[in-house]
Amino acid sequence: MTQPVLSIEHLSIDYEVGAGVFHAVSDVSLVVPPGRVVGIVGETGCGKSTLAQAIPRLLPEPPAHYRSGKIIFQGTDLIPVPRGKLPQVRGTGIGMIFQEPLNSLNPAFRVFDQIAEAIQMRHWREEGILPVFHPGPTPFDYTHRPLPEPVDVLSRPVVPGNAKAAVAKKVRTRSDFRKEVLEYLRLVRINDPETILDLYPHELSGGMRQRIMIAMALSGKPALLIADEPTSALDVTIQAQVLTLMKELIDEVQASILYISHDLGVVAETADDLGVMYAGQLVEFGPVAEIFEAPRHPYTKSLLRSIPTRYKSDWPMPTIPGAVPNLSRLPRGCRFHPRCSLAKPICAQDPGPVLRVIEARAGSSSSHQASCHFAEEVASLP
Amino acid sequence: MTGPPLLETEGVAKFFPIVRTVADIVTGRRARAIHAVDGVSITVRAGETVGLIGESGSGKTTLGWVVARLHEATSGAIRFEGRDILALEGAELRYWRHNIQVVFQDPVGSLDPRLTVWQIVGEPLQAQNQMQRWFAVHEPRRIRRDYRIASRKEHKRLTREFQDAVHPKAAARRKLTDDYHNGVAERAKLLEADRERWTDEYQIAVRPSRGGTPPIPAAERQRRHAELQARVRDRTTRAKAEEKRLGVEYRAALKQTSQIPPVPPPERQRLHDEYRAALKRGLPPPVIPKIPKPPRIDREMIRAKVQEALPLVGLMPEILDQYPHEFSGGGRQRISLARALIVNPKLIVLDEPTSALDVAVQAQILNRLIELQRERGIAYILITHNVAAVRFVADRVAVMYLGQIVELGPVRQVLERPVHPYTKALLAALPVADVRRRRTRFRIGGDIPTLIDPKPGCRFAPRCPFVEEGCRTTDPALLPRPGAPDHQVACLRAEEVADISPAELLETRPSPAGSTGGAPAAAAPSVS
Amino acid sequence: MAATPLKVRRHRRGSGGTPPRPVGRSVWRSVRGLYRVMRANPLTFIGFLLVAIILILALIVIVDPALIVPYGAAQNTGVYKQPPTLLQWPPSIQHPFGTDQGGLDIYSEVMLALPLDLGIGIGIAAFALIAGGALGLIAGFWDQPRTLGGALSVVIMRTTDVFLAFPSLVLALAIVASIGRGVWAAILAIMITWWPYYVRLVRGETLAVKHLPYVTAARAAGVRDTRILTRHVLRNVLEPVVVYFTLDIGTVLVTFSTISFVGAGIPFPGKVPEWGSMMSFYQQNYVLSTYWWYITFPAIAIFMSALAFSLLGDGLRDVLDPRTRRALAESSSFHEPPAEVPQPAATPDAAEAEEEEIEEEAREAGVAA
Repeated sequence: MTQPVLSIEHLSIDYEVGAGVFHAVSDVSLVVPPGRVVGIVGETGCGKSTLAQAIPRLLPEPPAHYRSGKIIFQGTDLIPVPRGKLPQVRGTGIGMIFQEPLNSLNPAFRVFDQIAEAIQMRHWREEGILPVFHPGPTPFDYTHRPLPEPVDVLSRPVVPGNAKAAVAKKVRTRSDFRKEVLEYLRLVRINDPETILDLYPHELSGGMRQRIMIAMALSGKPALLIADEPTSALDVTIQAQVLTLMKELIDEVQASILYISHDLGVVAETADDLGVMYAGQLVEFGPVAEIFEAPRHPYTKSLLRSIPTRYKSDWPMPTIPGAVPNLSRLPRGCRFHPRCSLAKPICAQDPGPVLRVIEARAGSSSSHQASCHFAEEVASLP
Repeated sequence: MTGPPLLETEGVAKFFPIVRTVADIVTGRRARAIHAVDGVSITVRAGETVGLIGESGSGKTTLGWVVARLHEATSGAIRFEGRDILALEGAELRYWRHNIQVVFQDPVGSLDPRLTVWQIVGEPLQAQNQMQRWFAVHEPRRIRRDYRIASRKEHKRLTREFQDAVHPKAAARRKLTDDYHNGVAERAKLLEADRERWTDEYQIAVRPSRGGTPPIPAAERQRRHAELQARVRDRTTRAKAEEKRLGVEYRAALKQTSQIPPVPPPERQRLHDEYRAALKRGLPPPVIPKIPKPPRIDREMIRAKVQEALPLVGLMPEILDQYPHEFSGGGRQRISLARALIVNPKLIVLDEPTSALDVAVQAQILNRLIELQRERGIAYILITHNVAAVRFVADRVAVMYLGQIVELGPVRQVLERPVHPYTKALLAALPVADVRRRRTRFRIGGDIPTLIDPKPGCRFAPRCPFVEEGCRTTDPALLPRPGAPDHQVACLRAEEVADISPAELLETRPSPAGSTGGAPAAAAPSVS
Repeated sequence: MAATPLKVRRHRRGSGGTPPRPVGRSVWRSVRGLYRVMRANPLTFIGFLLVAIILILALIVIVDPALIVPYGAAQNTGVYKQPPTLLQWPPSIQHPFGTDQGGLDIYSEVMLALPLDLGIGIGIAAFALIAGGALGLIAGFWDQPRTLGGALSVVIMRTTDVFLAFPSLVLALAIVASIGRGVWAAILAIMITWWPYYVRLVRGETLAVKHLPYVTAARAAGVRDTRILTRHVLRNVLEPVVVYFTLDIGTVLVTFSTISFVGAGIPFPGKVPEWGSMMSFYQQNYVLSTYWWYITFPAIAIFMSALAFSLLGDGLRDVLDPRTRRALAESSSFHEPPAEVPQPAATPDAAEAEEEEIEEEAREAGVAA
């Protein structure tokens, strides 16, 4: 069994704010095998974004504390790494795609400069000029990749209406990377990349910016891509385009992807394995098809039920009573029990085993696990 | 819902002019505007919910604000309960405002952080109370003033009638002259309009295009220009001939009037007496209603009313003295909703009420909205990009794209069997929690184009998978489908593409060789 | 889960949620809140104390100088307990700040200058706040292009730009050249050059607040423009402005002293002493290495006053914002979001709450769970 790209073991992260302590992530364990897409789904405040940013240690360390656990990336635990060495870990091994590309792209630099910078960093690492913490294997190489064949509608120019007309200018800086930058832009299905090289982020549309963000993340040739709600800020049709792009990239790129979203529809389309988070804990994990067919945790079941598109009958719409608990005042025992219709007295005392294996089918990518005393009875819920 | 419409908009447009800089003036660039809403006609009946769906740039939020008179419409008409509300101004507008309330998108910014819940929710009550007191004082005054003006007009009218009756020849002549002048002016206007229209068409046809089609060669441009000139010349000659003819007719008619006999003295006397009698009578006196002036509402009364209103939205009445920051997003939206409900509006514009909330909380709020509608008969305009919420809450839905309505009809019909290609694309793009969709690919490319001075022709043409030549030049009008008068579509090929389901806009991708497992490839599933 | 016990005081609640305290006790609540903020933020507390002391001292000097000013100024404004016998003497028991050659007790001079300096500092800053603030509100609120309000706003802003260009010190010298030395030259110079900053500040804040959804919501509810201005805009704009104002008092004070130091303000010795002019006089006429106490104490007085207001201003921000005030005052987390009208599947709240409290007490007492 090949070494998993990412293995999180019993990770707990707390935020210490003046008003109290927020247990943002509690005892989360999951494994991302190489070349697979693991989706993490949950509502606002469940800790998924914290988890995403914790893996490359992007959280501001004073309010956030890694209470316990390990984050093992390609065999090395990232938590004990001293702060000074952190830049060596990020970028080459782990690539990140954030939610709002207008905030994540530097508004003062043109597209070319931003992607070229990422490529520059990678080159320096490969040539040994920059110290590398953990030189991982490069999973793919685009310099010899054939150009994708144009598909009918996707081959129409994607340049928005307000691009400058006279953009055929000489690009002045770091022209040796130009070829590679254009490669990566074509990789994200921008069919006329020369036109946008000179533009600033604010001159592009949301969908374009997100593609550039993806190109930047890929240009580091990461072994793990963490996508933190990459399509939530986009319009519906643009979201569909970017999702299509991601699905195609998943097939082409051999990186593993940790895909985080609040939208079950989106993870259904992209993920192989799915983890459901609630109030900082991973309450269910397993192959995505199995979870959608037969969820084993009451929260997952309620979540699936309250997705409006799957929902057939009329008013009233099913809801989950109550509200997400405040992460500094968590209920005792199982965190979901105040809202659970299966709750029994034991649920208030004992949180139960974390992610016990319910089912492990042969040929499935992973075993189906859930954190519930009564996982077998969940199927009987309406 | 049957009955007279509560709200009607006709051809409403809202343009935001782009400020011309000095550089623009110097280089002679013409004034541009953002066509946020461009010709929207929609009706809302009492107690029904109309959904407005679309992406960013569709103009749905702007339309909602224009209807609530938070933006001033650039053109068009809006009638509420039969009354033209674009003519309302100042105190009258404020008096009327409680009829249409708005719930905004941002739960954090919607509530003043320095005020407590009862102050926030009670503010519309205070304003309404103030305006009712104002109304009690001003309405009688307005009626009296209107009566005075009407009396004066009546006086003038009677005098003129008398003059005309007593001097029939002069009256006839004057009328003929007026008609002639009006006729001439109208024809001049028509000519001018035609000339402008043709010039615009010519300019658009020869305008250097951006990316895509090649520019028009000089010879072609010359030819078109000559064509334009010929057309204009032709029209002008015809107009001149017409004028001449009118002139001749006019003269002939004038000649005829000299045969009108004068009025004999006894007749004159009679007319004079009638005139005097009518003047004396005047208009019937106005009915001035006795409007009781409501007392000024005080703090205790506001608090009491707020306490009554809070349970309507599912909040406990004890939260009166808390501050907005102590509530979650869902709680804040409920407070906004309570603020909107407290003045008993007939229509509430809900501007993306749930986009900042979680799925479970969204469901709670939407449930509440439906209950309130059933209890109180409030109409809603639900503006959202969340198609599922619209399917759940709305009776009718309008799909908007780039400031225009592209499809309008009963919600089930539009969402289950969409006709317009954009609606199909929108529905196909929705992520469905179905694992078999991994192998599908969304076929609509392109970005949402700019709203600045849109070109003529269908605005979805650059991205439409069913586009034809005619689509790029002709503006499609919103027309009802044959056999379904309540379902309107703005597409030139509506009937041809009507039966194509949104699933056709998703195509199956081939599995890569040695793929990494996952769900088995399947045919593109149906979308609904 | 947590290895180290964290010092967190949990908010004790009864069963089923926290009922807020009745309305009548809101005054007491805000006083207590204030007190807690002070406790949480020691620098603010020091600033508050210092400002209070300075103000009280100034008040005493105005009302009854004899209480704390033993020796008065040259013009016999004080009561001589005994005539100063020790001339040119460094600080001692009888003369805490020392005396100078001309028979003036430095301590008395510094005290007598306090109300003047403080009054001018607060007065001019207040004038600038009111005048500049009013103009800023008008320029920000009624700022639509192509209307009367828009034109007025442009006029106000360009005038402000003109006045911003004047340096107060140079202007003071110019005014002195025309109307002569004196307190009015200094006051006039500062007043003319000070109000533009407030116009800019208030206008910027107003523009930001004007477009927030709650202002639009008030318009949609039918609230009049003037009422929106006073109720929503003013309150939300006031907070950064008041903070700036308190910091500004110190700045005005220093500027006024500088103008007097440069020679354009009040002469010393003259009718009323003033810290800046005291320093100027002594610095010009005496050797400071020997007579160090001549300028040290007036300088300390300026420094302490400016510092006191700065500290107060910094902490004022936290006090004024209802959000941070609550967060600091109640050292646990926020109230529960108000629950829905009870739904099925509710839990036995009371028993749970009780258990929690017992658990908590046990943990705090160090007993294992």
